Amino acid sequence: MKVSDSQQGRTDRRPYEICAVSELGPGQRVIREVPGVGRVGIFNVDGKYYALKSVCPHHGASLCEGPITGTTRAVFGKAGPPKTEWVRDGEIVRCPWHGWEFDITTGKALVGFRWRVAQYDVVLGPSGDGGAPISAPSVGLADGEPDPPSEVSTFPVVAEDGTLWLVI
Amino acid sequence: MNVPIVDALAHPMPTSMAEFASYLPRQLASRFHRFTPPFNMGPVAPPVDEAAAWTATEGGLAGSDPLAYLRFMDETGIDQAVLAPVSRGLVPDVRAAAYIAAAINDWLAEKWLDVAPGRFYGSIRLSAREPALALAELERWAGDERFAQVVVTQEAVAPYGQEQYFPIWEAIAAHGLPVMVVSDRARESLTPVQTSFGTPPQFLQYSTFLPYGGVAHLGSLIAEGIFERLPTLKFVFADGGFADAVTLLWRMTMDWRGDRAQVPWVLKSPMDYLGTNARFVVHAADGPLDPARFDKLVSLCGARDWLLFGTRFPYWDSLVPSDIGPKVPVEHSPGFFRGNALDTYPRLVTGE
Repeated sequence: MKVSDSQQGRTDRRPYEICAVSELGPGQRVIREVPGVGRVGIFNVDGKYYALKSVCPHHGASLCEGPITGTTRAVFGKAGPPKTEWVRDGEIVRCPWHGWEFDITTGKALVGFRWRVAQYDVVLGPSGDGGAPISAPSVGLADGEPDPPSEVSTFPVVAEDGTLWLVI
Repeated sequence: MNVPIVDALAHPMPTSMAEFASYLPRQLASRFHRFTPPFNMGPVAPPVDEAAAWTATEGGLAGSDPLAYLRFMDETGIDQAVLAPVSRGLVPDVRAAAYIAAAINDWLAEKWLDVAPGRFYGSIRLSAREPALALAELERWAGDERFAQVVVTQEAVAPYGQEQYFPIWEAIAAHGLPVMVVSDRARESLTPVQTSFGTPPQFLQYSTFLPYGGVAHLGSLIAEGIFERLPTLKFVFADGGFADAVTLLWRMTMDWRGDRAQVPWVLKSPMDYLGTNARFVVHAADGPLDPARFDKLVSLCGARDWLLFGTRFPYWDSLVPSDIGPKVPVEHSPGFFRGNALDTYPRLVTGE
């Protein structure tokens, strides 16, 4: 299989076999140790595939092994204290070490807005849309304090002949 | 000091307990001898002969002469002062607490605020224990432009972010007034004040940990989302500890990154409410003595826009502008002596 990614100007990308399509149903995830990349989590969220490098930008935990969950949103009413609403069920992965929440579909941390795990596009089929990895903005936390590494790479995923391939 | 200075924290005193008692309702005043005086006289300028000359007042308690304070202002370049009378801290009887607050407001309005209009600004003391009583007292004064803020005591039965207090903050915000939290330093009195580590038995201990009470209220206000519900509301913390606030809110920010889902109404990093919604009055004991290092601390804390100058007149730990000026250079923190206060207290009339 040959995959090119013109958006990145890369022609050397190669597929890495993940698993059979049937093995990664909605709501499920697999973790793969990918040569040259490291640990990557591949998620099926409502039939769409997402791949995140499984390194939390906070302290390097294997982020993608954390709970797949939803999150809360505040509802501010006219009277009384704000209420809590459960939203985005199945679209959030919570780091197993310190509980930071990340949006599986974008790689962005839900807190701080300065934090993002690098995300890899998942591509369905040989003619799927690759897309470019999303880069994280580099924003200082405070006077002179450097940002911790805040990015995990994202990869396309290709489904071909009943098998999922990670394109690295 | 070339800029006209705003003193964000002066503590006027009554000339005597009898003077103050005359503002209380009879049912309270007549029982005065039976319990702790409602006005804290404890740690003011002890002993008097060691206090600076400007705190001494002929025939009365230190800090009880408006003209003496005006002279001090003129001598030190202070143009305007926000007067925040101390009270008795957490008064167990909520009705008595409301009477005492009302008496302080009546007394301040009559004895101080007309002495120097446009230079003296008052504080509406409220007891936050009972919101209905607090709201009634607020409405009695909020339209009086001589008052620039509301003051509540730091001593409380529950942290100020909790829902029981919200109607008070909501009404204050609607009037466009800031709220100052000040310890009444009543912790050495007969009424023990509980902390998470028990009751500090001496002045030394409670004075040391005073800033933490203010920061605990601030953490509560942030974590309960009060500043998202009332984005224009500003709290001023009068007992120092600006660097302690940064340290503790940094800690809160760290935990919030993992626990955000518990408090989804905290829409930004807890640190980021400093300045927009929280201001601190500098304390003589804040930070290192060396001016260069103190200035560095202010810079590290990002406090240039939310640190206010206040004298704490006439307390023993008061500051005069020339004490603190070298530590907070005007060229680095142009708002410290004036601009930050004007931003905090919109009722101060500047003529500019």
